Amino acid sequence: MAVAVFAISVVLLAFEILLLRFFSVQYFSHFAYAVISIAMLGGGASGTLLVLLRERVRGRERQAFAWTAAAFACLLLACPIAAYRLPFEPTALAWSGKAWGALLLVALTLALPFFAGTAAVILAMLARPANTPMLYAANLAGSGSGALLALALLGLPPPWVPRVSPFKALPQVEAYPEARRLGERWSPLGWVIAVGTPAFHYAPGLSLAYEANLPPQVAIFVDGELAGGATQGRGERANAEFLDWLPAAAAYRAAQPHRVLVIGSGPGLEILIALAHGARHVVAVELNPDVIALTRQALDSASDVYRDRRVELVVGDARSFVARTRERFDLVVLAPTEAFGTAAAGLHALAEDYLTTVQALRIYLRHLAPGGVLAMTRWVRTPPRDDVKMILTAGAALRAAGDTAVGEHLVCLRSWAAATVLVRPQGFSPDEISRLRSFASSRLLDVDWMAGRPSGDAPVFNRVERPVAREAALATARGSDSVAALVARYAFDVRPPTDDRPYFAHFIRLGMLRRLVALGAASWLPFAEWGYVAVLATLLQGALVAAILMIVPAAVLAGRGPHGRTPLQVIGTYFGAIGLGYLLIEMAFIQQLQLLLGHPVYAVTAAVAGFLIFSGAGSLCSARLTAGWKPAAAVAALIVVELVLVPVAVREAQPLGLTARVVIGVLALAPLAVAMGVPFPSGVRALTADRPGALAWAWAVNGFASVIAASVATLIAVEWGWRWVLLAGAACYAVAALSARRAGPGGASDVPVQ
Amino acid sequence: MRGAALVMAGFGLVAGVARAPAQGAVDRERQAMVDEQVAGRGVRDTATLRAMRIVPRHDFVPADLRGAAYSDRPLPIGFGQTISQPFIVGYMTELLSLGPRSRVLEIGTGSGYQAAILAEIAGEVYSVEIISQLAGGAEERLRRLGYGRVHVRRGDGFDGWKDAAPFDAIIVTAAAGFVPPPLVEQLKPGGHLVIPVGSVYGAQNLVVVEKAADGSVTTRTLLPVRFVPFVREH
Repeated sequence: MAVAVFAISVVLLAFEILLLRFFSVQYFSHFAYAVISIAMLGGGASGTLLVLLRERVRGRERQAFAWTAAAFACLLLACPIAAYRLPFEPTALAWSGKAWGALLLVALTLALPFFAGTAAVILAMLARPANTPMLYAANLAGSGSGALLALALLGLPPPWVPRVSPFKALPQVEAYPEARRLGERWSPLGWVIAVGTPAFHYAPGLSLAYEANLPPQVAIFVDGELAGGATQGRGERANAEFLDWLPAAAAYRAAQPHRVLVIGSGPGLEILIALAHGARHVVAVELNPDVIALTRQALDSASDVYRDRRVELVVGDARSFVARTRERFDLVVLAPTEAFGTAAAGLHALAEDYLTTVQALRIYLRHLAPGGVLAMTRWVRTPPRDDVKMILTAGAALRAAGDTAVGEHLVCLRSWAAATVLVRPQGFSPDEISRLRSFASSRLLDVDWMAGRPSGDAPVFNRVERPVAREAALATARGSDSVAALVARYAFDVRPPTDDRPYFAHFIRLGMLRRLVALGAASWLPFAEWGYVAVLATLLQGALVAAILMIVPAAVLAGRGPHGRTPLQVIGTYFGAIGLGYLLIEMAFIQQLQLLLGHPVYAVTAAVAGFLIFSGAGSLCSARLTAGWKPAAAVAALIVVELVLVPVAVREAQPLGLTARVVIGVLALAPLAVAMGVPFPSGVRALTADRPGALAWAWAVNGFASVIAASVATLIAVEWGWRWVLLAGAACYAVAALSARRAGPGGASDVPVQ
Repeated sequence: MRGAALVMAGFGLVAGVARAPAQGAVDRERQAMVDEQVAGRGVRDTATLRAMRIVPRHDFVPADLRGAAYSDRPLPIGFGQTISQPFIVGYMTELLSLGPRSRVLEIGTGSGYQAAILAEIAGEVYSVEIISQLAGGAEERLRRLGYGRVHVRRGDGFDGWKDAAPFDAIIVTAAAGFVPPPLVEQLKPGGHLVIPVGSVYGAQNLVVVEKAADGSVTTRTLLPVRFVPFVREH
């Protein structure tokens, strides 16, 4: 039976991860998250149903297990096919009542396999209560292996072609005349596609004063969203002219650009800018090798920047590269990472971004040669926020490096579409300042700040209701108290992101939501961040459904004898707390592993597989350990150790290769994960042994708590940072320990296993 | 944004889209739309308000969404495109400062609704649409509803409409974060170019590019709602 439970668990988790990826490609990732969270309720609901059917199943658990497992296999095939055929477009939730019905239908359809699979696992435990540690271990180890299986499968093209939402950029560009797909690749890092059409033009932030033509370009998409444009005709002078009219060209008015580092080089626009301005050596760091491969495939060999002998390509995570290299650069360039329209909708507001934190900027500054410049460009929105946060982050990085004249070392320029900040620890010479001023006025850029001087009488080309970027620069120059005052008063969250709280694109403040709602439903569009809205909605829905489904079995159980010695509330508190705590801790590690490993797919796989497999081992050992309150208390104590251990492990391992980083990351979580495998089976043994049906109740509470946990962890991480997520996890385990202790020696902790 | 409110409220039940109501009721709905959503939120230009009272918006939305034609939101028209929220159409049209003799260029015909509004106000309206099916549909619709003098062309809006240039006003969505240089060139001195900045959920800001008499170019970014971005002003 343990083998069967293992196999079911492998498939369940692999299914979940593959669904999540498939939906992310078809729709936008926050919708995928919401849909799958709802479907996951199916797992918890199975516990509820088994509570209700406890009497009917009694004595026939084995047969019930066999039938449920068979049903699981069938549903696993049938449900995704059915869901794929349902006409569902989540973007339409904004305007169509029908879309809400379709969402419910899709979520319910996808919930069925989770329901059947989890039911089979619980039935196995009901059939062999004495075997709980073994079965629980099989469940955890199977789930962990499922994550690894999913990672392996993600390298293959899916059996069905994703029906990409028409609201994504890919189908829109492919509808242009003469558009053709030049190539596509699948990998765990994303689905990359190159599309050629004469109507595609890519010059993000191009000056309104530019009057000439743009060269032909090829569009590169990742998961159906625009990742950039690969430019043809590198050699020809006429084709290179526009490069001097892009925002990043400002940096070349100050820096001697002999050695340039481009972070996130993608289809190569920033490399072209560097080469056009006389760079002799460009190091281009790009995480996704498929983006490079398709760029090179789409361009003729004369246009292929990655073939240029001045260009050195580094495939991998930029944080790892800068931790490893001893090279110094005259210019470090950070280009916008998402497309203009996607940024405007706040679709990636909750994605971790470790390339723009205060710590990241500090490391870039350390890699500047004497006189070197760090240049960063971000899209602007109204009311201003991205540019404001960028200026405050640059200032914070300088200050953290001991700079006492921050204002002297910053230049801030802005057009209607983009803002650029230049950071130079050695300051700018009068000559460079005058070159930058003339660059700004010829490109119709506003000077928000010029190396220690407020913009003064510089011409205003781009009027906004209130030039908050200017106030932010002034506050930064004045010192951290002024910055703190501005941050506290501003309606948006513009706190500089840190490695603890790496959310550059997140701007919604909880306190602001009320004001936005007061503006009226139809007019808070300019402020919406869909990623955040989806998380809140998922939390509310999850909590609502979970509450309803948990009260039902509690009522049923309470009215039914024989009553065990442990009150239901205690069982509920214990298993709810460890369910919530487990996921909070796992989420905290996913976040920090992303800093170490550089991509969410690696981080999720390593954390999920690591936690579940090691917890499986812990569960196996649990039979030989004391039950009661001690296991949960041990987890809470270990977390305190991890709070110190994890940052050290991340810092020390960062320069190493990916495999070594994965190994060290997993080793760092292993002791905690082993300990976290114990409280569930030992709790089952101690608290539910004398009470029929209580196991299913425990399972249901545990499952529902995990559903809520993902949203709760995200909210805590965004507001306060990952340490608080981890501490919240510790608090959960402390609560579990206390509730088990209250059940106490007079409780069930010494009741022998049936 | 209705969607977000609904999302926040959980599985809010939304009334199904009603069938197309009778003519008189449709007219009343349209007047109410202009009164509440457009004039009520501060659009003052009489020509804009008049045009929005006349143009039958419900004829520009897909048949199955006709019942929602006058509601306060953008609607999908296929190919990932939308017809803008009525207020945004009005606000944008007002910003163009059109007169009866103005020449207007629109990049992205879409359903043709904005072009019809422009045709009610301006002298000559030129509209370019890259997606052939949308261009065909809009052209047929405009002709049928009596806006046959709107010139519709299929093709890449990047190049503008050189033969008809210069223009007093241009509307273009700059989804890639820049305005195609030929469009700025085809704008008359004294003219306005309006960019609705946004996503599939509709316009979030409007950027007005103004070309002065001497040919110099400046921009203004406008927020469609009144909002004080600081919580406690000193």
